Formats: sequence, C-alpha cells, structure tokens
Amino acid sequence: MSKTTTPAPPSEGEPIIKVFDLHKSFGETKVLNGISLDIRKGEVVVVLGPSGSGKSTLLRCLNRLEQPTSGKIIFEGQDICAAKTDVNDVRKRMGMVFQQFNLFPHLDAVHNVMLAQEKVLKRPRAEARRIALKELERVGLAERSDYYPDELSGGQQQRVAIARALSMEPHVMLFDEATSALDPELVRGVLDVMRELAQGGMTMVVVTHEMSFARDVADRVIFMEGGVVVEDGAPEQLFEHPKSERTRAFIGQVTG
Amino acid sequence: MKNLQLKKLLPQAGVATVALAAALGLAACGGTPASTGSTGGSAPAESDGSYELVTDGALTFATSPDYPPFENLENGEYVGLDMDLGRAIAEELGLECEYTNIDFDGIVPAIVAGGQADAGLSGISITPEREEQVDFTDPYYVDNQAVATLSSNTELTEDNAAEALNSAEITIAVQSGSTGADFAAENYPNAEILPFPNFTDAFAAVASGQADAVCGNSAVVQQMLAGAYTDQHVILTSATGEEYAIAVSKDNPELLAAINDALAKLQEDGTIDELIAANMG
Amino acid sequence: MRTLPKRAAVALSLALACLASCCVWLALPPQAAEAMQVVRCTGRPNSDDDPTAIQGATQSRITLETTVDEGEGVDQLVVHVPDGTSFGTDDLNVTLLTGDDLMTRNEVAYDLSTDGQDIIFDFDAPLSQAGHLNIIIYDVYFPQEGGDMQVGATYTLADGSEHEIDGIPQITVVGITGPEALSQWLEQQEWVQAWNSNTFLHLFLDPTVLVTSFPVVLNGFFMSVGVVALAFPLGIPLALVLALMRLSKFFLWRGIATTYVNLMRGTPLFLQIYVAFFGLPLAGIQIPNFPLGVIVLMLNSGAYMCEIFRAGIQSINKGQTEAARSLGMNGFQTMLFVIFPQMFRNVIPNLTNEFITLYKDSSLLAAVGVMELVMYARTIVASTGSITPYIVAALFYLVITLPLSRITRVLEDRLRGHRRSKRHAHAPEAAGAEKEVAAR
Repeated sequence: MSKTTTPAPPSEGEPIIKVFDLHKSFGETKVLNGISLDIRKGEVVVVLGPSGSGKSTLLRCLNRLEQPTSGKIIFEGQDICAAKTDVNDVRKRMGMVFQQFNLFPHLDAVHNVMLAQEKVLKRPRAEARRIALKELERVGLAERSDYYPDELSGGQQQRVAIARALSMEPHVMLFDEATSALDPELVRGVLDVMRELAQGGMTMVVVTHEMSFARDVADRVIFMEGGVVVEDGAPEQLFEHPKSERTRAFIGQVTG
Repeated sequence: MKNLQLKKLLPQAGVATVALAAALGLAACGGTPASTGSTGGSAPAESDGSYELVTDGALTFATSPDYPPFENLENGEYVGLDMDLGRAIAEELGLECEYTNIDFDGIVPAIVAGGQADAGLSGISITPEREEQVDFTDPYYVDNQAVATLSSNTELTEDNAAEALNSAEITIAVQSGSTGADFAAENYPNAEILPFPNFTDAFAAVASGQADAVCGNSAVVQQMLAGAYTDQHVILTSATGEEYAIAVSKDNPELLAAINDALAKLQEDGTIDELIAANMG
Repeated sequence: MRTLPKRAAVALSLALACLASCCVWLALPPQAAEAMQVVRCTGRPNSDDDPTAIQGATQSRITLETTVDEGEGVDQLVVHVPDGTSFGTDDLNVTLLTGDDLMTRNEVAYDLSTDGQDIIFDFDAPLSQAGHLNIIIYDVYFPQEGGDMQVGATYTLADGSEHEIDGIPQITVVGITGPEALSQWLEQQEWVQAWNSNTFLHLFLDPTVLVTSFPVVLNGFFMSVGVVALAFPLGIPLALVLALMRLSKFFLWRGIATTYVNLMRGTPLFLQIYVAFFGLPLAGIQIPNFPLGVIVLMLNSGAYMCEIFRAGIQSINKGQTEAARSLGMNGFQTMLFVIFPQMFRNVIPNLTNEFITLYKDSSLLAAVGVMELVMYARTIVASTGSITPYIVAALFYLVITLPLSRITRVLEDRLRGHRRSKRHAHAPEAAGAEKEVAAR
C-alpha cells in the first residue's frame, strides 16, 4: 500500500477506514480493549454505548487526537499511526465536530469557517470566503456570518462548527456527541443538518445518545461497552432484535 | 546607644519617611512650623538649653555614609572626618551623638522637614540654593577637587588635563549634587557630565569605560583609588573655594549658634586640624 | 589657617615639574613684566536647565585665578567686574595657593575698597611668594540679558608700575530662561511667600522650584518613555518565545527558559542593571547607555511577561487546540492564529500592570547614569534641597499611568463586547431564529 500523497477515495461500498485490534490506555486505565471494524464509503455509522464505554476515545483515535496504544488504523489506504504519516494531511480529510463546539471566540462565524481553508488548504481569501458563505448557507446561517460565537445560540454555534468542518471538503465526518451540550429545543436544528449531510452521501461516524437519529439515519449501529464492540449491525436488527443481553439492557434503558 | 543600634537596623528610610514625617507634621500643627515660642519663653535662665532636639539629650546628625574619608560605615561604625567632628561637637555641647542614615539628596529636605535629625553633617557644601532651605554653620573644611582617570589612558594625562578635559569628546562621571559635579560643570563646560547617585558608581563607570574621568573631592578620590580602583590615577587637583558646613533648620537658630560656638572652640584648640590630619593623612 | 598638609603620592611627578619651573623663575630677574598671568576665570553655573550654563539675574560667583611670581611684589590688585553685574563684598575669598601642587592655602590680608565696578585690594604685604592667587567673588548677579562678560584686572607692583593682566577669558552668560524668570517673579509674590512659609508646602510644592524643574524633568520624561516604549514591545516576542519554550515537551527548551525566568525574576532588577552597565564593558562589550538600558529592561520584562503569557496560554480551553488541529492546522498555526489572539485578550490587564511596573522601574537606570526621569529630578533635589522636583517627577509618572488604566479598560470592554452595541437591537433574534430553523 502506498503511503504517498492523498490516495483517491475508495469507491462506494469499499472500506474507507479499517481499524485493527485498537487498544488505548490512559496510564493504568484501559479504555479501548481491541477494537476492529470497517467503515465503508458513504456509510453512516452510529456508535452507542454507556458513558465510559470508550466511544469518544475511539472517535478521537480515528484522527489521532488520541495516540493509540497499539493496533492499526488505515484511512484511505494509509496507516495514520505510521511515523512517516503527516497527521495534518490526514486530519484535513477528516472533519470533526465536538460536543463543546470549540468555535474560535475571537473570530466571527465566517472567519471561523475561513481560517483553516486559508492556512491549511492555502485557498485565496476570496475563495475561502465564498466557500465559507456557501457552507454557512447549507447549515442555515448565511445571515449570521458576521456574528461572533458568543452572540450565537448553542445550536447555531454547533452548526457553524459543522460548516467549518465541511469547508475543508472532508471525506469523513466524525461527530462526537454533537448535540449533548445543547438545550433540547436546539437539538433538532443540528440533527436536521446532520441528516441532510447523510442523505447527501457523506461518510459519517456519529457518537450520540439520540436514538431516533440512530434509528432513522444510521446505516449501521455499533454498540460499545467496556472498550469493546459488543454488537454491530443494521439499526432495525440492533434495536428490534439485539443479540446481546447488554445491548438489550442499554436500549431498554435509554428508550424506556 | 540602643537608639543608634535600632536605627542601623532600619532600612534606608529616605524620602518616603521624610514625606510621611512632613505630612504628619503638617497635620499635627496645622501648617505652622514647630511652635517653639510657648516653651522657649519659660526657661530664660538656661541660655544653651533653649534649642530643641529630636531626641532629648542627644544631637542627631543626618549623614549619607558613602563618602570616605568624610563619612563611611566600617563594621557598622560611623567613621570619617565628619563623624569624628560630630562626636566632638556633641561632646562640647554635653550631648550624646547619634547618626541617622539618609541618602545624600534627602539630607537637606530631612532637616527642613524636621523630626528626623537635628543637623545634616555629610560633606555638604554651602550653595545659595541650599541656603534657601537651611542655615549653614561656619565652614569646617574647604574642598579640594581631583580628577582621576584610568592609568592606561594616554589621551588624558597630567600634562594636558586642564585643556583636554574641556572637550565634547570627554565624559566626566560625578556624584549628583556634589561639589565635584559643580566643579566639572564650571571648569569643563564642554565635556559631558554624567551624574551618579552613588559616588562609588562614578568610579565603576570609569573602570567600565562608560566615562573617561571621574571628578570629586580630592580626599575621597584618593581614598577610592587607594582601595578598590588602583588602576586609576589622579591627573589634576585644584584647591577650590567650596566650603563644607553643617546644615541646621532655619527654625532652630539657637542650635546653629551653639554648634558655631562649638566649632569655634574646636578650631581654636586645634581639634579640627587634628581630625583632618587623622582622617585625610 | 586652613592649611591642608596633604601630600598625594600621585602628585609627585607634577611636583617635579613645578619644581623645575620654579628653578627657572628663581634664575630670572624678579620684575618680569606681565608676570601675573591668568590661570582661569569662571562663573558658577546656576541654571537648573543646563548644568553648565551661567545665566543672568541669578546668583552666581566669579572665580579668578592668576599666577604670582617669586619676588614679584604685587602691592595692589584691581578687579573690574563686568558692567551691569552686581556683586557682594562681604564675603570675598582671597587665597594664595602655594606649594609644589598648589594645594596649600594661604590667607592674604588686604584692605578692601570699591569704585563702581572695581574691587580694589590693597595688600598689607606685597605678594612675593610664588603661587596662584585665587579670588572668589560671591553674590554675583550677571545682567539679565546675558552676553560675554569680560572681567578685567590690573595690578600695581611695589615700584608703582601698573600692569594689566591680559587674556582673561570671557564668561559666557546666557539670558535668563522663561521658567527661571517666572520662578524669580514668583519668589517676589506675597502669596508665594505665604505659601512657602508652610514648611510642608515649601519642601514639597515650592512654586519657584516647580516651574524651573518642570522643563528639566520633562527631558527625563522623554528618556523614560523612550526606554520603556522600546523595551516593552521588544520584550513581548521574547516573552512569547520563552513561554512556548516553557510549555514545550522538550526538556532542554523547558530547562533553559525556566532557568532564565527564575534568574531574572529571582534577582533584583537593580543588580541586573549593574551587571549590564559595569560588567558587560569589562567583558569587552561596549553598548551605549540608551540601547543598553532598553536591552536590560527588555530582558527583565520578557521574563515577567513570559509567565503572564504562559498562564494565558494555559488558561485557554484545550478544545481550542483540538478544534484547530482537527482542521489540519499544525502546532505553529494553531498558536499563531487561534491561541495567541485569545491569550492576548485575556492578559491585557496583566500586561498593563507589567507596563506600569516597567515604566516605574526604569527609574532604577538612574543609578548607572542614564539620565531618566528620576535622575533629572534627583539632580535638582540634590542641588536645591527641595523635594518638589520629585513631586514633578511623580506627575510625569501619573501622566502615563492614569490614562493607561483608562485605555486598558476601554480596550478590554471593546474586545469582550466586539461590536455588540451596534447589534444590540438584533440580539434577542438569535434565539428566535434558532427556533425557526428547528421548526422547519
């Protein structure tokens, strides 16, 4: 497998990310205990599980915000943990949305979306602005482009954060509990954006507690507990006929 | 004596304390200087007891002990011509002698403000400006000036000093407000005069090449060269007319008179000459 | 009477030279014409503005020094004080300096009379000892308008012959400056005299000293502001680099920066100034005063600001770095475009404090001869004995520090509020718009 510049994205249905026996420990605490999975292009994968099950850590390992302790992650044919790999090059093809939005408070919405385009993709300022406005339009915030983060509601901030990630034209989007910090009435707007994104064919890995989203939008649902994948399957199967007792208990808890 | 030791422990109080003392004084007596009138009239019999002292029974001098051989601290003791003179004056007046340590430029203000010291004794020369602030006793010493430079300096020598020093190329280090500063300004107006608060630093400036020459009281210069700055030598001396005297508050003419009497006696019996010989030898 | 039997070893060669010339004089006939020669004729500088300037209408002093030859027999000396110049005769000082090094003072007895601008000294015994005759005239007031003042002198020998002393240098007197004139005018005013009769006001707020010290201390103000205005901005990049080194994962960088910061913060600035001003030249590094002052203050404030920046960087949410890195920005870009701008906003109050501290600390440069604010004030305090120049200096500090506190507050408000005031009318709309989208 070549590790040179950006490989061509795999065609529909082929795995875009392959994870082999991934382990991650923080000191003595083992958080991931051997995770292996494939994510195919265009697939929307929702990761469920109780808190502390390692879902977020798995997600953060995928773009190396966390350094795996052992195991292998292949993204578009490239071992992202290899010494030669330019991690910044990997990250610009993988968008990430955080629970706490993490917008840059000193920049207004459009400049939040423009910054990485200009600095990482070296897009000219005018082009970056054009794309930023297009992405803000997509998340329904074109008219808020000159607002600073602290002038926006949580839901609006999260949508700007999504626009910011999309402006890099990523091949995969990672959502780390993107709606968990939002007031209930603001959750829907964010989920709508995510749903539209999924319908548009984006490959997505979504860590969430929103069961309806998992049920309606996901192509595949993964249930994690104790740092391992307990169950992996289509949403109907997982929600209606869970194989594992633990999955059943969890689903009963959150939907009951 | 306990008082003296206590004072030694105190940090250099300087201007801040003077200001505080003055402010308190202002508040206390409503803007008029210490009201001596009421107490003074009651004791006409004792003529030499009519002056007021900061500490009863002791004559307190303000001094800046960084000017050997006039005043200096050696092992915590105040030594030098001025210090010996102060003790002799106090003895004449039947008083204990105490010293309080104040930066040179703070001494005259401290005497004006009162409360810190009865008199300033620190190689203070008489100038018209200072006479506006304080009274001076009769002079006890007439100043000589000396100019020193690095022995390795070939541009400035004993032969050409008088002319060569008066050049825009030359920087002369002095102690600010000293007779040396005045002497340099009067005689070498073309040179750049670089003042230092502490006279020792003026020598350090010559040693480090920041200044070409240092100018100050001859006896002090000799003392410095004999000690820390053996690589410098005197290239010019001059007997000037600057007179050293003791500064006394204008509100205390009785003390001024008493010190003048004591000075006259010490002059007459040769004590002052002895002290000069002992300290400048 | 006031003979000073001091014999400096260093004066030995000078003594030999003098001895040689004395021998020559002894060999010559005693009545050599023009034998009295001028050595110097100076006026005492008396201006607060310029330590070497002699100005009119202000108390000064004339010093005239001439040679006297062995066996000359000077009977009478007439000193002509420049026209328009007033002088006192109560306190004249006439001394014959003798000895190998001319350091032995001999009082000269004389009868004094004056005739207009002429001071006439009739010596009790004709001056016949080789040496320098030193005459000091006190209470001298040169004409207000200034000009080149020519002192004249004629002497009469025992044989009755009169001779003029040629080549007496002129004393250059400058016209009185505005502040000095104002000061003298103030001194005559009754309210000023009443004001000054209060000891506290006289010492701390003497109007006559206030007006003269103001323009002088102003020079120091420019110097102080100049030093700090350069040192502070130059210290910022240094501090940023140090802060990044201290936060580095690489122990060597961390060690170097930590050592530097602890050293600079753990020792008095005063000591650092001494090392730089007296130590560096001895190590062969010669830097002029002003840039050296700037460098020392920069190095010092760099250490303090490093800690401000480090705390500022650490106070920024980790999520900011993660967000930037997740977008593919490298560490440097993240620092430059995401962390620093936020950090600067947070540390403005601390930076202002540091600036004020630095501005005040610049007074320590006075100790090593940098003519800054306090040094100018100190020079006048030392020569006049009035505290007033320090009060003037204090005003010059406040001129900077007070508006600065105010500007900082405005700056902070602006950075926190962005352009909120402009948009305040729309603000409630934000939540409403959200619902709109949500309902879509």
